[in-house]
Amino acid sequence: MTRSVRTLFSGLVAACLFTTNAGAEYDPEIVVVKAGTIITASGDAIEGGEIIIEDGEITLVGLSLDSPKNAEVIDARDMTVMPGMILARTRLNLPFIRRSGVNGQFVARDEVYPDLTGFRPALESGYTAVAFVPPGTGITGRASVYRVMEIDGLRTLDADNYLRATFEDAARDKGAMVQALTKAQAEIDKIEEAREEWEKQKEAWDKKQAEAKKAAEKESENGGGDTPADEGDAPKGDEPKPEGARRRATEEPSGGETGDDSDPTNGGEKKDEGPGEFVPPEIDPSVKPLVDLILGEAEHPLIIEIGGASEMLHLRDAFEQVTIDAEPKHVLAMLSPSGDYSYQIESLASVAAGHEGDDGPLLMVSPAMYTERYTVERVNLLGELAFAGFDLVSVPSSLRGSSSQLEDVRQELGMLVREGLDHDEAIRSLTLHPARLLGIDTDFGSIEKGKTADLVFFNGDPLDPASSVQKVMIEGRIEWETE
Amino acid sequence: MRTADLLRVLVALVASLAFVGASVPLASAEPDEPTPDEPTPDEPSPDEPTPETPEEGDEEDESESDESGSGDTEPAEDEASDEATEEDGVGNDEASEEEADEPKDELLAIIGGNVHTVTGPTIPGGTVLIRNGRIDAIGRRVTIPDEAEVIDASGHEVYPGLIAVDSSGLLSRNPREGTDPYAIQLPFVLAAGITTAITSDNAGKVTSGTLDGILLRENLFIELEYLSTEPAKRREIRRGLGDARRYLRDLAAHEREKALEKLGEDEESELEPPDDEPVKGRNSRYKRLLEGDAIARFEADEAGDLVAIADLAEEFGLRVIIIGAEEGWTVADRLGRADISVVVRPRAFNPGDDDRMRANGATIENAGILHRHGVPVAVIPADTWFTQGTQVGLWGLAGKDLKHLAYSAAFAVRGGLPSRAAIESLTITAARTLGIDDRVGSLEVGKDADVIITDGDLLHFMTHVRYAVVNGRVAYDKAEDTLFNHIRPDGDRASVGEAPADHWPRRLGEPW
Repeated sequence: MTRSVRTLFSGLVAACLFTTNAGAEYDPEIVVVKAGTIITASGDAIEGGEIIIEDGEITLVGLSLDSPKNAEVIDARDMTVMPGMILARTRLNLPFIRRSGVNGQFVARDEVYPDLTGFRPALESGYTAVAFVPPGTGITGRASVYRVMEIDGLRTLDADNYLRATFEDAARDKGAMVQALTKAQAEIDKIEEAREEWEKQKEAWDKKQAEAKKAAEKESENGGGDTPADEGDAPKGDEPKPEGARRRATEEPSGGETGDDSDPTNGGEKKDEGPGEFVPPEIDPSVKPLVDLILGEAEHPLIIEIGGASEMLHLRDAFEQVTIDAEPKHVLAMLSPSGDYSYQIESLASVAAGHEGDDGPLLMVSPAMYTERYTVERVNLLGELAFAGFDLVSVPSSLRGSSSQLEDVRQELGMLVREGLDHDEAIRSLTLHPARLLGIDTDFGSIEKGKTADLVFFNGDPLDPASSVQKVMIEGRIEWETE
Repeated sequence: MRTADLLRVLVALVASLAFVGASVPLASAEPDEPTPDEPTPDEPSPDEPTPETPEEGDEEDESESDESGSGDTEPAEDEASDEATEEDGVGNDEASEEEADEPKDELLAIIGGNVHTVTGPTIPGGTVLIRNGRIDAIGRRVTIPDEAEVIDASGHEVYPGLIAVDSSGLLSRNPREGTDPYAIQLPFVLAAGITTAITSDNAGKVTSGTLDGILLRENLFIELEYLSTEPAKRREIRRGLGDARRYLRDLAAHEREKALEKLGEDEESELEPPDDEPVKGRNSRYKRLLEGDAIARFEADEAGDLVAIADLAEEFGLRVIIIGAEEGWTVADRLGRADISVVVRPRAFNPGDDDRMRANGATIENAGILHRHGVPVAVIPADTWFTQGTQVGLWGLAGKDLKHLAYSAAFAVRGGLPSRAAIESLTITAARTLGIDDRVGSLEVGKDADVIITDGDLLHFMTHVRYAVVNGRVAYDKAEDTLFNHIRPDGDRASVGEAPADHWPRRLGEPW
């Protein structure tokens, strides 16, 4: 009974698809992926499921779907399919530049060149999108998000993404952070001052305007004779006399009524001379992104690469040292393999507990077993943080991205899963959470209806060190495949 | 019926409103009249404006009766008392509001220990009550609030936290800027009783695990080199101090002249202030020294150098600390007269080498002799090069064996320093030499709550620190920390006797 219903339903779906396809003028490219296991990242895994992709977009995910006959079928019944992984912080093979201090003006986009050979390790490791960051220490600049494609090379997804700051060593980076915050606040104060000045001007202007209007009204009440007209013109002042005279000459014949009309037009002309719209003063480009963050106008957060527990205290101290209007929205990145983050795990947990919203607070981490400082005890920091409610974003601890370093992320996560980290959480830390961090989760990061068909095919569990990437699909096309 | 009731209520309301309305102007008129309510029928002068003071009234018209005088004064008193009560009431309200708004006081009481206040008496079985990081009360009969956290120190000694007058690598140059409060050095030095340390020219607290209140004071002293082996530097210092002093005198004279000129006429002064080159930039330090804003800190050991520094200090009126002063005992009276503070290393001994023709005159009696001549003596441990191989290295402490600061003072006792002076040399004397004795160095009400609780006499070699409290917060607890919790784990007093049964480091497990 149920079976017949299901076949009926799927048949209906297929029919719908078919009819819509047939009705359209062009034939959309339809790809059907028959997978052994689908790790959706957003929901539960589906065993023996299928994914229907139409023009590079996922349109259906489910069990035993009927597909249109002209569809291309990818038989991956011996494979595990997961969403394309997203590398939220890397430089891959970009050259390193020694740079320090407050450099918010830099954008990684300016360094990236469309040469695929260098970026292929990312593709081969199953990463379909990468975020390049500017090099150096201090406030280093803004990240740019690209998608790695075999055929088109790199494709820009978001050129101006998050702002990167390092706080690896308080002795080195605290000064830069305090300097940056102080500078940004000074710029904000400058804007505020300019606005106040403008408001003062505008008030004075409006007052003048109102007086002029009153005078004009009086003038109209008086009947629009020659002398009141002169009075009405007097406050204009700036207006060149010949023109005024000319206008009066033209208007005089029409009488009092048109005189009334002429006043608003005069006002309009005066508005051009007045303060006009508020134009904020030029902001120092090196702190512009930070200013936006403090004012709450920035779309992307500030990512602070924090070196250890003491740096967390120093960061808080830096935020307290400088009186800023608001704390810039920031995400911590715990990337130092020898970092003693566990000293702060309780305060972190309280942060997570106090977080509002459906999604947990984001946290960038480097997957590794952390050693408790001065001891031989090992801590599954990621497991504890995920348990505390953080949405983790896994990245390699190094900015360089050789394929082995990129592969290591998965394998280290696998080890952490063995030690208690939730498997789905580990998968999400490679897909959905980085997508959220980069603000591209509407299109990427999971296998769901409506998302772009960026898929990675593994010959086993992705977190199993024995399994490796077999295929990488980008927008419904297989971009890379093992021989 | 109901409507009638309503009406009645309404009428009553209106009447009361009218009454209130009427009473308002009365109330406003009250302050002018001294006694509107008091039954004083023989009010002498209703036309007279408010009497200013009773005395004046008496003087001006003596003809007035005494009653009037009393009538004038009494209401004044009443007013005053009214005001006072009002103020009190307001004050109470504010206080209660503040209490409601403010977070609760953090209270910590240390009870039952022998409280060594250092600057005052030693109180057996005394209590130290700490409120929000400051010492709130000390004594035998201190009421302990219910909400206070209590540390039972019975059978233990309570001292002020020790001060490391010279240390490096413990806190960062500016303690607030780069210190790692989780570094292992911190519990180590806390276990040695040190709660305040000097790095560079700043004083910081050993606040293990937090950055709150880590900076005690900045820019305490200026280091100068004034040795016979460096005549150029000597010349430079003398020149700098001389120029700065001349400038300050000229400036004072200029100010005086300007003031005189101003008294004469209101015209703009044409007097030029003296050229401030001698106090600009790097030279500003000489001005700070002369004004007593900073302490001059010298490192010197030889008697000749010590006398030269004493001369300099007297000539320019400087506040001086000398670190080392190994031959200080030979010129102790000179140093005492020049009011110089000395930081000694009681265990220092210079055996002499090929470069020096003679062995240095270091002696264990140095601290004792200096103390007898009225020289304030603080103590630091000996340098590495002497104790090499005998001390356990402590990473990044630049050879200062800070783990055993109290031992060094005990060595000085062996050389004749009274034990009370030895404890002072680690606490209040050290604080005074650095000019931070308003915050640390003794157990006094109002000072920072830096307290150590030891299981024996501070100068005894078996003694361990049981608790170290920094800024009112327990920064080190021997039982909690893994450093020494295996030694006398039951909290027995330090004593020379049999070694405790559990001497094998417990944390390493049973030997297999």
